[in-house]
Amino acid sequence: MIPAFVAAMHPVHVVAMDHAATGVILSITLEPARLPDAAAVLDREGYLLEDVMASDLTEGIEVQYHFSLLDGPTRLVLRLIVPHDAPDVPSIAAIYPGANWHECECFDFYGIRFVGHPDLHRLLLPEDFEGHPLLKAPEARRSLGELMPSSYCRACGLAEPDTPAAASAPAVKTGPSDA
Amino acid sequence: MHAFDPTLLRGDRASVRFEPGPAEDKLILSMGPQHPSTHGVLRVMLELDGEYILRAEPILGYIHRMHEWMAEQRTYYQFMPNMGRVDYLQAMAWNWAYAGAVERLAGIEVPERAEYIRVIVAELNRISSHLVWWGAYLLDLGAFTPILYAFDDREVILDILQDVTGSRLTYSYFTFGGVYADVPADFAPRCLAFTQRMRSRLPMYRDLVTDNVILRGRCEGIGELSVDQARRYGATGPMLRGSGVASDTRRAEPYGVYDRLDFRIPVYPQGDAMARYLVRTDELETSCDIIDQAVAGLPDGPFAANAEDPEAPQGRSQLRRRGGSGENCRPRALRRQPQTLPGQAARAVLFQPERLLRIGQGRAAGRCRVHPGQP
Repeated sequence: MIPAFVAAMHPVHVVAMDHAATGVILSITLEPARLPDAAAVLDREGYLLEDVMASDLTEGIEVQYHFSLLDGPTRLVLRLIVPHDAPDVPSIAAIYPGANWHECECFDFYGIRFVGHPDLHRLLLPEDFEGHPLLKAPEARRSLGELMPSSYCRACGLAEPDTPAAASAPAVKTGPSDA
Repeated sequence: MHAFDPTLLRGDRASVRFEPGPAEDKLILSMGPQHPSTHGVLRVMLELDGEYILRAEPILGYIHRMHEWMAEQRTYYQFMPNMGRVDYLQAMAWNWAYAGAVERLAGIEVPERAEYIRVIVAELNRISSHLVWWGAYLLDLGAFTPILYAFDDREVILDILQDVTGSRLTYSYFTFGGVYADVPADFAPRCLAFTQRMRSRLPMYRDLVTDNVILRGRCEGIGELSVDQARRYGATGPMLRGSGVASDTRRAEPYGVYDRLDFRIPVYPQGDAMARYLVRTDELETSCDIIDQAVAGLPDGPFAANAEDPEAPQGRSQLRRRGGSGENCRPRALRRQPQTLPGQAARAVLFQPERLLRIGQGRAAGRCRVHPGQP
């Protein structure tokens, strides 16, 4: 069941997930520009920001935000994909102050630039460290179609109905900012 | 010959923001990471006026080891010992978080005996972790004696767990589908003897420390955190329960056999350092209650599923696991292509900000992520 407030986030895709298998009940894919509004919606609904993390994929760098109400299986994940050559994501540190360090972490390891962050810096690596260690070589990257459950891929149009996601799954539509 | 660079004297990124100002009594202090109370892991830039802290900025990363990148180089099984190093005071929590996430992903059923053993060793480990917190917390507040009592009790737990796991601190006892070996024959009576001993010590802890007027003066009304602040900052565990939210992952998203056990969730509404202290000390008793029930219910049977060559479906999974100092113990988002578990090397990425010690919070956070193998 998809809560009513999800529509207010203007998601690209909303997919119900199996909590027993994934720990998440809802996956919400957003265009990056919609993120601050979506975070404000979740703030009003009383959600707690658990963390912000990223993955280096064929389609770009995927950033995931996990939110929960902590009173049961209520975790949902916001996803967005930004291109490798312009990894800009709006910061939500003004809405959720707890995002401040999470965003610094993602910058530290993936080089994601959180636009509007009050103090984006390397959180854990030395300040003179060069590069971002969790970025993969292009040939080591995998696509969402390979990594996500086939039910998710079908719901997002990454795979044809009834066919498991092939290794050469088409790139996910992520909105106008995707290169 | 290199020319002298005067900018070197300005210090690093954090210290340049703390300039001595016009105020006569203002003191700038870079405290840690080698200061005894920061335990080698935390540095805090401080602006002080006498004993009052006017401004503080925590600086992290001093024992960051990049477990995520290490996991990229190892198989699922090879990576398990790293879990004992994520929160070395409560290795069992991380063992469980990692094993549980892989089990969810691969669909491995855990035998009942293993589930009960997991609960017992995890709760024993939680008590030992809380005892270290209790002793060190009071040590940092200026009371030397309590840590000796705490370590005396903790020693009993370490002896029990040593006979179970072969280790005293960095356990690697869980395996996918159960635990690595069965418990010794005297395990159950020793656990019950320990909970009896622990309960008999708690009134002494209370008289010696909890009701002490100096402790009360240093904790009551200090570091108040409202429910809304806790939520927006992502505070969990005793931090959140000390702000009056009865949230416990063992109850909210039960894993293992916690849904069959009856236990109280300690909650204090004041939101100050004292409330968080009381939550943690009450949890010593809660863990004793859980151990007693789990020992009574410990069934016979296999201690591990036959998890040879399970098919891991592609996907991501996460298991939220209640840790000692917070509730963010949850290796998550495991993802891989279908392949057998012990076989081809999985490329894995794990990130864990060691113990993300925040001022006055003591919140441990971490997460990991496993990426599929290189072809």
